Amino acid sequence: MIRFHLVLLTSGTRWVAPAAFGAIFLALGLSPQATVAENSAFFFPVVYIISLWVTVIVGNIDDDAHREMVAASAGGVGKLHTIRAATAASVLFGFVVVLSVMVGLVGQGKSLTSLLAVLPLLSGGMLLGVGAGNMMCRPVVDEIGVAAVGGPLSLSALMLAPPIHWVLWETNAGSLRGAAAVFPAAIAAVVVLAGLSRVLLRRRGLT
Amino acid sequence: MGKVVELTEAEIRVGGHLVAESANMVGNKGQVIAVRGPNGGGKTSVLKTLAGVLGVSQGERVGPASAAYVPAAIEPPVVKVKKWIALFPRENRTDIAIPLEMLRFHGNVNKPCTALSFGNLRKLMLAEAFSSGESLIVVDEWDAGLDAEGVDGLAKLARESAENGSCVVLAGQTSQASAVADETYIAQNLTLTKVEGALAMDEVHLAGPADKITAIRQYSRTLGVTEIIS
Repeated sequence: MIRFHLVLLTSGTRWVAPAAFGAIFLALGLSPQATVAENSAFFFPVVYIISLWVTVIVGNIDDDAHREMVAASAGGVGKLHTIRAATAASVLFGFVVVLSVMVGLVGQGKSLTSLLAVLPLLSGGMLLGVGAGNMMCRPVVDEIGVAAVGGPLSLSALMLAPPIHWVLWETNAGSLRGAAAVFPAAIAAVVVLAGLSRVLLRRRGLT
Repeated sequence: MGKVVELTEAEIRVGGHLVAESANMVGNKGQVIAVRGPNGGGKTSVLKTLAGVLGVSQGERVGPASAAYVPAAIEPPVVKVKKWIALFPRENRTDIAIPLEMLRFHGNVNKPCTALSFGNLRKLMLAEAFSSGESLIVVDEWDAGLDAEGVDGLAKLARESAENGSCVVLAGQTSQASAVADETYIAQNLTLTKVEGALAMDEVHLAGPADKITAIRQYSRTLGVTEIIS
């Protein structure tokens, strides 16, 4: 099922824009002068936005009729919605691993410890983006404008949320303390968001 | 005959709007069922509920977790036909070449689905459903976009799938679906009514004695009910 959606994603051109966005930020933002911690703090919101974007693209990969056709095969619209989020997460996890290695190898003060702290921080950003994106695509919401407006707004809200704000503040100051805590917190947030999207789907009469 | 799908006192809502209430329907193994009705009568919503895409707000739907559902039309995916067939998620896929041949599919499987005509795209979707290995096959607007050979092939596929133990539900505007089916339901005015006998109401009125009914069924399978009435 995930492979089917990966092929649907890669057969079109909709993946090009977030990929270009990521490549540009990688080229311009990954600084050898900055510390590993500073670079990872910079890339946290970038990973969040790309993850949200890709998840919305995968969620909106086909029209309603084709989605219903696949949903019947998958065992329900909610189940398919989760599978599509998992598809996005599987693509993005590869991206996050590569990015974490690059951040861990390029910045000042690189070490295995710092590399091991970057991966959960950026994975946490990815999971939060997937969770938010899963709420901003069809059939949960029909308007693509919701993602266009909701994406940046949710990023602002996330960055200002006290625990994330504190971790990023610390990370920007050169400490990766607390970075590892972002990952389990993100998993918890994704579970809550997935439950919420199921509730919204049920309210729309979907399975 | 084992039950494949059942709606019991089902209330169906789409976007909050009531589409059907107290709907009852049973689909058994080996059965072809026709669902007919006017535009806006609720056929598609009933079909989606049977296929497990739409939920019921009241009552119950008991049926398989997965089903083959063919909507009236889709926006074709950019993927090559061959790849779409190979990757469309099915656990018990059978040889799709057989239904494609029966439906007289004339598309190029090495080209993207976007290159297919509407009729060939419909045939592809139908062939996917009839090779899915699912116990429940639900087809909306069953004859939409099909040429005469396609309609004939689909009627044969429906009967064959039923004989192999599936329950096939066909929806359409005309009584041609009833000619293929063992049972007919009419969806209109928020109700789902079972029409007794193999044929639908208008055909039964015309039919007369039992031997005549058989003759009309055969005739309508080929030419459609409009010509029978005239």
